[in-house]
Amino acid sequence: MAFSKMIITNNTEETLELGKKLALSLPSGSVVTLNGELGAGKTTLVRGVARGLNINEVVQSPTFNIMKIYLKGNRPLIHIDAYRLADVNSDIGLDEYIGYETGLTFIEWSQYISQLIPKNHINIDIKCLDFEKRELIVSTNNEEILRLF
Amino acid sequence: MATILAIESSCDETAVAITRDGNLLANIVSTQIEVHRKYGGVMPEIASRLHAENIGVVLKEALETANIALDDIDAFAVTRGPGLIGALHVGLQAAKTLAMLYKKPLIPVHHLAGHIYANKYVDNFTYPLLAVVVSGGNTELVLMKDDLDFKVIAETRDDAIGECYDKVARVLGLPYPGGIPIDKLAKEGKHSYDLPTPLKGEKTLDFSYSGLKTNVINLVHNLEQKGEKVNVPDMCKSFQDVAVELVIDRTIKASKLYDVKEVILAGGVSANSYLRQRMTEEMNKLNIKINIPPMWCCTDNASMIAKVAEKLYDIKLFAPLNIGVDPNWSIEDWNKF
Amino acid sequence: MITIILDSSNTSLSVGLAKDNKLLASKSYKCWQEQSEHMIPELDDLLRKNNVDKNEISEIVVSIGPGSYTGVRIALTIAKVLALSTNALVYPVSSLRALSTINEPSICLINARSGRSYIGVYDKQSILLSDRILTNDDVLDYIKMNPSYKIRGEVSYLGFNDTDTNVCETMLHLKQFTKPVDNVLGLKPVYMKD
Repeated sequence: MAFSKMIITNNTEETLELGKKLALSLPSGSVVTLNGELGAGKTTLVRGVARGLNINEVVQSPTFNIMKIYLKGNRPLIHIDAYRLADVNSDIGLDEYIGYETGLTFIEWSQYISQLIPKNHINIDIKCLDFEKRELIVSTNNEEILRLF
Repeated sequence: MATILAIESSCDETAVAITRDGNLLANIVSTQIEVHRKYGGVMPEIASRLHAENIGVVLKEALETANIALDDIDAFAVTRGPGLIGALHVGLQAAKTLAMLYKKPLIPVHHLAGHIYANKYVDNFTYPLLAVVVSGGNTELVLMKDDLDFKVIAETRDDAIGECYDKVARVLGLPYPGGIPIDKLAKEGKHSYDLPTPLKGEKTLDFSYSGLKTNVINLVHNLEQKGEKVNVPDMCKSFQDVAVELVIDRTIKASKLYDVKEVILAGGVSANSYLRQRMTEEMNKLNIKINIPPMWCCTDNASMIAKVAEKLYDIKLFAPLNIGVDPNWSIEDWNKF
Repeated sequence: MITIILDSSNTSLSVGLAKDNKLLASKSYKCWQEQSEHMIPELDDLLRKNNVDKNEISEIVVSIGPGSYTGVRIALTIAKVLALSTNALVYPVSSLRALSTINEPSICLINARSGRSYIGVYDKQSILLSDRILTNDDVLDYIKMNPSYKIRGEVSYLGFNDTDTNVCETMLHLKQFTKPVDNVLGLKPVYMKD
């Protein structure tokens, strides 16, 4: 992708704050793909987004359900975990929700549904630097978006 | 008392039950587990498609089994949430159509309240009671001081216990759903692998299974990389011990804290034999009544929805025809829609 | 003879009531992701306002796709349960064809996402292009090659103006070319993407 920026968060609270910031500034219809190992903090970031959208429901890992949709906040939040779709070739019906026009979509393990990810999306790679510290690299083709960070 | 027709379609079982004055006249369940098995878990779109395919057939079978006509039904109940959004839609449309056509009340029921009330088919409740809700999608402790009084006093910070079982099973090459094979193999294994207790040292009633899952996955990968063979029964035993003990620990602490008279196990994971055994042991020690659901109650079905609906019918908790589903409905909001 | 007409295959809902093959009343409006909430109340309203008792319902015309998976299932579930209760005959019609205007060649389109569209082309009783998915580029080419054909559906995503047709009127009309389904309870939507 054309543009990228690196951000360090020192603990869970900072990751949550970053998520909150995303919630307040990303335009509706945005699709964000999150990459990182198990435990890197993908769902933590989404929890922060939920906070920013005034969603009071508990944000849990969507691995079991593949998709969780939160409709009671300021804007809808779609949280997808494609982990279980690694070997799935059949139509999974997610395209009605990815890029939900009035809300924000966050996708973990998006490599397993790459054909459904719109060209204009934001990608965040999360790496563990130590037990609490994380390095997040945000990439996008839209330079405007990076100014939000 | 009344004749209730209840519909359940929150996950991978399309179910319809009919009760009259508390007696179960029909309890039909069309399960999709076999279909989802090859995907290692429920595929929401497939689940929704199957619900739409099966709902008519299941309804028809329930009516024939109960030997009852739709005109004789006093109210139509349906699981409004939580669950998979597409799946919930199917059940709701079916219930709404019936309620509208027959001009009878529509009763929205909370899925987890259903799991808890399933135990009423076994025995009456003694309050205050603690419901330990453990399933693929949920892990929480619900305190009930009275009928229809729900307070969530603990829940998972990340993964549900059932989901953790499924993921561990996957890593060990075991089929879905993971609870059954892990429970079985654990009986043949020893606790020889060291897995840390989640949230150790923290003063909390919360659950957390994400770390345990990660530890098992990392351990298995490390062993494989070193060329060592994983002793699957031992890994199952080691994992299950930690997973179940967390539930036992929280239940004991919460029971003492809230001075409960009865503990109820509810949800799909309550079918786990080790959990049932350990829970019974500990509750007997504390002299707390323990209500363990029979196997047919552990999986999703509509008879548990009907059980809650009977109570809601008595208090006339009816919904207008324009309600929608709520895939994240909290049990504390059971009467808000 | 009372006919109920149901469509929720895209971003709108349409509910209609016909008596002896004449459309008595109908309601159609944009209702994106809320058909689940509103279809039944609207149907209820229609039945009440026109004093129709459920026992009079003898036919149901329902659109079975392609379109939004959730949407298509909503109308279809209602149709199945209605049929189970009333023994009404069910006539499934293409949701694309339901968008056509009866006497003009119509290119009927529904957004299939990921740069694709569901397309079906009809003229009176003929099917010029049977329902399928094409890339939006191919769709635009088709439109260019057939300038006299009318574009029907919610097509702003392609850069055209949305057209408003009376879906209930069209679906009622299509009933005459449609066989009622033998196995109503086994009726499946047309998903097309798989």
